[in-house]
Amino acid sequence: MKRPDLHVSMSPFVHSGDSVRRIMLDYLLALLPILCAGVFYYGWPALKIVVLCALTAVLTELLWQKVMGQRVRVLDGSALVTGILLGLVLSSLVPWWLAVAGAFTAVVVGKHLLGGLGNHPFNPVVVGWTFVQVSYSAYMSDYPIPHPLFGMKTGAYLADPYLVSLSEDMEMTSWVPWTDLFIGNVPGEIGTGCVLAVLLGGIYLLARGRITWHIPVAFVASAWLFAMIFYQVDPESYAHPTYHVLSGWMMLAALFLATEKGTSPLGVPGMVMYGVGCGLLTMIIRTWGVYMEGVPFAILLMNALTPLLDRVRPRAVGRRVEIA
Amino acid sequence: MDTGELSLEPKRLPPPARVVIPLEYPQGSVEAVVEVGDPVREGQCIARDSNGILPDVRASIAGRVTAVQPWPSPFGKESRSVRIESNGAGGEPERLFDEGHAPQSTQEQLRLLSESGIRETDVYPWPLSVRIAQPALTPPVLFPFVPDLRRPIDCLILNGADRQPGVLSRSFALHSMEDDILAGIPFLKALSGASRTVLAVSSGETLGDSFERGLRMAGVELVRLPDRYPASLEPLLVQHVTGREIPQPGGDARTVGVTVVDLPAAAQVAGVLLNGRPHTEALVQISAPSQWIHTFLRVREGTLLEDVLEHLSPAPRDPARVICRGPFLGHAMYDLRVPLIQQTEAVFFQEEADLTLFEDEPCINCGRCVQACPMRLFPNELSRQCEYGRFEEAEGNDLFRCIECGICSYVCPVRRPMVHLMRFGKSELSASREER
Repeated sequence: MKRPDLHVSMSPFVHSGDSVRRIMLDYLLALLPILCAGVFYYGWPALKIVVLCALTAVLTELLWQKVMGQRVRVLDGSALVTGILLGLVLSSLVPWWLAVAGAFTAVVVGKHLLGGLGNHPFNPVVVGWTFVQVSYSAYMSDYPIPHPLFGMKTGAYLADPYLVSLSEDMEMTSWVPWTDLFIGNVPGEIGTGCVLAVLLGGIYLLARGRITWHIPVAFVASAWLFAMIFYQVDPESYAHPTYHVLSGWMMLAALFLATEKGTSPLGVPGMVMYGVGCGLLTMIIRTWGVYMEGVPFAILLMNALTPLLDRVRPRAVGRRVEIA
Repeated sequence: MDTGELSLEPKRLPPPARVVIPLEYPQGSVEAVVEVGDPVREGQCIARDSNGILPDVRASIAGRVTAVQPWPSPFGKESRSVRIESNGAGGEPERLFDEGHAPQSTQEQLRLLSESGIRETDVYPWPLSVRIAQPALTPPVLFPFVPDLRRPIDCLILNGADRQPGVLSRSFALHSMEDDILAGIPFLKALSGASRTVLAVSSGETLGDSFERGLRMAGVELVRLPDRYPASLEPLLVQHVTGREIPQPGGDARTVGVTVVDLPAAAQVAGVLLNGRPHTEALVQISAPSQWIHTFLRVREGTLLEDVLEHLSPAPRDPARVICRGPFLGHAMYDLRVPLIQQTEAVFFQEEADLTLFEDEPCINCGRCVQACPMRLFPNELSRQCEYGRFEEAEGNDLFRCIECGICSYVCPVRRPMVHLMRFGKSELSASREER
């Protein structure tokens, strides 16, 4: 018998077939309903912004990897997901160059300068958003009224973005029907309004095992409980916790941004603490901060704490408990 | 992994013209007691442990010793081996005792188990005859080296759940050696002195009615394990059955008063102790999953894979990687002349298209390995620390509690060679220990 050339390698000799591309494909599928909801409520300009962000992110990554002489991995789709997510947290009324600037910053500063895929300390989407928010805040406070497509009634009762009501018109928060908040029939960013679509995408990610439930549940539950305490004390000056949870970035961030791997802890105790931290900081910034939305800043702060939270680990199986 | 249908009737091949029997095993090596040119009978002892701990090695065919030389072994290394050329004549196989003189005392039974040459597929730190012996039967010379052997055994686990996906040797034993298993149980119970005896099987397993009745009569409890790798590996098996955690590293089941016995080995016990049959055969699964080839072979221990392939039909075509001892825990072979022994357990053939290769990619911290790790480690961090030479840090993060099950490599989206890196870290640390 002829001796064949045999491959020799370390165990294991089988693989699940998972890849970065498959992870990102799952994210794209999960983001699809959110994008559809955004286009449904805010029209074609919403699609324009998201596509612009996505294209910029992908081209920037391609350019970066070519220039830096790295292996070109742009086809793994991670830049595409970053771009789309950034588009979803922008208003559809922002100028085109702002979207481009945000996506460029997200990929270059947020992702590559700080370590590359999975090794950057801060969520690139939030980094990109923070850059444009801080630099061009005047352009960032313009939100469209949902467009009465397909015979939907406009959310005419609410001219302002609904989180502004927290500081300016507290009474308004009790008028807004929760169903409108839930289906996204309110002014807001492209992807954050429709909680229903966000939940659909999030459940898909959970079912596919791409995220675990710990961070989203800890995030939303702690924010709700925190808001409930103040609402119980003084319902006149503090909004109902459910209003808080259903409005703004809360759901999108809890499922898609706070769970970003590499910027969030991987152990269960760390994940729970991280989620609780995100929830509490969000509510503190929303209630007493100068910014309308507290979620992105809460995530950035908790991202910074992640290496610390990852020191809190479950005891390894078989580790002897040392008795002092 | 789809394993297809596996026939319960093992194929028997014509006796081989030559066998090569390794003398080096993961637990240690044994010394040849025959010399080149010596004639040997089938079943004759050809190698023995000078310390009297490891099982004897027995000739599997009658013939003449033609060489004692290094040879590829199923553990992925070269091992000193005894090569025997058949003389064609069968001859009467040697027996461990004469008809009607079956040993009655437990001491003698233990000695016989050691002499018979039974070896298990799992790599336990001690051979069956040491692990199964209750403290009263253990040679006292062992106690200073292995204090855990002083501990009484209160739970005996027969492991009938397959070690890894795709390898079916234990479920095969469960379905085709029922009588042998039932016959062996009283001996194992008596030797171990265990108050609780458990047969662990995978949750999907269906057992015959009479077998289940026999188990009940023998006082054996049936425990079903989650049908999920690596539930049947010793530390997790013991934890599932008894709720006790084996301290790692350095601990084994005996540390927590448990002994685990591979089911195929348990099935051989009765044959040895009642009939004096020495162990000369190996049960090996031959699989080429992408070609739908799955066969069980019963071969003389030490038959070369090369010789088996000549007689096998259908034989696996175009092998690009040949794996002994299973897809998760095994070793890739560099030579088809590797002998099939009891511990070979299974030989997998992969074609060029089935090869899953590792890549030199940075970790993306996706956390899949953290979710999958049965020992609750952080393989992502461990692999990086080993990669960048920060071995002491890795040790502080429980590197030595890794059982190398390979599930982290299996799920890794960027295909990092996780197990390789962990082993590298462990070997570097051990090497630096020895230098000091």
